[in-house]
Amino acid sequence: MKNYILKIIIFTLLSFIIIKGIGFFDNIDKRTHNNHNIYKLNEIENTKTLDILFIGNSYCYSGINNMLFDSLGLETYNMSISTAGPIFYSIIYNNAIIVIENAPKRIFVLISPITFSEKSDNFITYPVHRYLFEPIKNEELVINYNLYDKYIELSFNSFTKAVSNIFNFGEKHRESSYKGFVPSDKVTNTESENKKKYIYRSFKKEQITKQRIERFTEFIRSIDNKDNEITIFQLPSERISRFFNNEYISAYDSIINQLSTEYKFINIDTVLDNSFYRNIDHLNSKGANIVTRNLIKHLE
Amino acid sequence: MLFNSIDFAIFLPIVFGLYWLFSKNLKAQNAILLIASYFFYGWWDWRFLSLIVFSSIIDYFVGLGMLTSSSTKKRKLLLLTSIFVNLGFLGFFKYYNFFLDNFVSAFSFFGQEITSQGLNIILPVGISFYTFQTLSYSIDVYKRKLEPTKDIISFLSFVSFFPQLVAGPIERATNLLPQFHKKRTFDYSNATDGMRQILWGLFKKVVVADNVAPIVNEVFSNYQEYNGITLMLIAVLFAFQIYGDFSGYSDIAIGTARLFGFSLMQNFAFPYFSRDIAEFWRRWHISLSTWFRDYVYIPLGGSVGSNFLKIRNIFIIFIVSGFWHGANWTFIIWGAINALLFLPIMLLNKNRVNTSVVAKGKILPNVKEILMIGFTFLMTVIAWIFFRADNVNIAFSILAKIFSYSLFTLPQIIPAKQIIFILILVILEWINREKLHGLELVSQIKQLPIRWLFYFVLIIIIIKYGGSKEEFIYFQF
Repeated sequence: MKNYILKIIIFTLLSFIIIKGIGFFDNIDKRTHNNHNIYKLNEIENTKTLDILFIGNSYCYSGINNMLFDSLGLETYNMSISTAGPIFYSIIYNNAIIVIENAPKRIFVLISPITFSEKSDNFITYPVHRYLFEPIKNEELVINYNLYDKYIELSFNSFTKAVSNIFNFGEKHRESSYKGFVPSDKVTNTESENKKKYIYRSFKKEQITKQRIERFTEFIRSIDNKDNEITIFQLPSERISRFFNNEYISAYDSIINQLSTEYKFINIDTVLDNSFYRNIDHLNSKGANIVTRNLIKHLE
Repeated sequence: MLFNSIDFAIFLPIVFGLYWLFSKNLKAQNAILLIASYFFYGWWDWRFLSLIVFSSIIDYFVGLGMLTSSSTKKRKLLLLTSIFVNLGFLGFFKYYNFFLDNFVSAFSFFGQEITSQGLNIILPVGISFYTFQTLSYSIDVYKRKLEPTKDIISFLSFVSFFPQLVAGPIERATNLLPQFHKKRTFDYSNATDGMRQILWGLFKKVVVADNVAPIVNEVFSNYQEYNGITLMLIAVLFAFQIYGDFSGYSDIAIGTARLFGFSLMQNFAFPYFSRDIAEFWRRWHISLSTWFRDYVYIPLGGSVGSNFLKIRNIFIIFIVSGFWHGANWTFIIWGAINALLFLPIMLLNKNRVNTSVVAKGKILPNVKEILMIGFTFLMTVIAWIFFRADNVNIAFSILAKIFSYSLFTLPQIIPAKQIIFILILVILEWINREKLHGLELVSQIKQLPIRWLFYFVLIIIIIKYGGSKEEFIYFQF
């Protein structure tokens, strides 16, 4: 019995030491990461001055073409990350303003139905916390955001990522992006959409929780308190909205109504056909140009 | 409490520590197991604890009543009380709405419109399992195969033994109850192999079944959008989902019981390597199959008598077995299909041809064995479609699509990751097919660091690639 327990303790301790020890190297690819979601977190340090900072999720980096702002003489950066929700928004905003010498005063925050989904803020799929200028340890993360049930998975993911970093597994061509905007010439079609539809179906069962609404409003208030000019904006969202239930969408509409009374709100609700989308719900470059121009009109 | 949860990872070491702390006191150990088992069950829904307690106490006193009575009439009455109470609960919680709906439909068919008020009944987790376990006690005592116990703690612990309480194996009182009366000693090799079995069970459940589940759910819910080859592929995936889920649970249950010095019966013996359907049913959900064999099939006459009786008995046992799985016609048809597949083998007296392990002592099976295994697997997959479909019409629609020209096109979904996990499962189980579980041979690796590295990698895979946390399918039965 003693031998048995001793071996289990030794095995557990050894595993823990190995996982934590090797996991320490989970972000050594910080400067070489190929994924735009990750490298843009560090790339922003090359930006000295910024007029507008966009904060958002994948709809933002697919739909806002920052090149169009260049011609207006406006310095912009599209700090948007896949699956970003209020927690990611807060983290990536704080990460950005640390390094920009002249911090932007105009902050554009994207809002979409998915912002409040339980699928957003996915640290397992997009471990942004590792790649910040001031990385957040897994332990801190679980304590700060009440993610205790994810701790083991986060630790193991750090370990496997570190192993692949050490042996340099899976080095890929760096995804292209321009100031955070991810261009795409792809055009969606019904066949490819049908293949992916199942991924979206789980949204139908979701409800917007009070906690997520509070997190979002807290984030908005926190940047508002820094004397920033905040604009909340929505890009065409009818394609993603159809995957949510009516209750969810009406709760979402109420949030928008509430926020639009307190902050500047721009709704770009241009209806676009398939040729403007790269997949079910993300715009391609052609679509991005249309909606970005529409947004610019609101600025004028 | 789910086996694949943090709650259980905390619960198990605490109970294990407390239990072996009292290794010299059998009564204390049984009491610890009883408290732990009720806690384990109450973690889901404490209200249903009363059901287990009530059912157990009835059977305890039924047993004692039979002990003190020599009158056959009184003994029979006691047995009927036990059957009535246990099957009454099961019937009410599991089948009430099914019978009501079918009763109403039958009246509508004959032009009589009647209105009914179905009840919003929650099915208590594991009721089908512990009901059968406790029934086995009453029947065995009645048949004088087992001496009834006077020790109420042991009896309550036997009915509610947490490793197998909610999804089996359905233990016989003749096997499990005496273990509560005997002093249990800690056996190092048994406990380490128990841990290996738990690990393997977790792999099958968390990595295989839970990764396959979302794709299977999607395709079965939207089968109209998929072609024949995709539906066939998904039916195959479901075969592995249900196997990974249920045999995974059984492995965790058996492995956990071994940590406490208990020996539970093997519930799955690598059924997808079966060469005919009779062998499949000797290897799939063994505890339920043998329960029905001993308490339903043999009392009906078994395979003795005219062909009519044999056919009747086979249909009864398979249909009842299907119905045990759920109150839906899909399960009844699933049972009937298996009866149809089993009948020719039995009528030709070939149901005990393949009793040994396939390709024993060889690395690979021969061509004939491969064909037999492939054919048997295909038959079970077709039957599984009824098991998984929401209703019979959907099952037939899926089959119609599978057996159409679209079977010869390309699949719309290629679940590469899931296929890799299934291959790992098949390979490891093939290697260990003469053993009790898929990791048993790992113990033969002499070097400790290599063995530990193997476990470490498996744990990493389980945590990293663990799919969406799905409840065990068999909890609903």
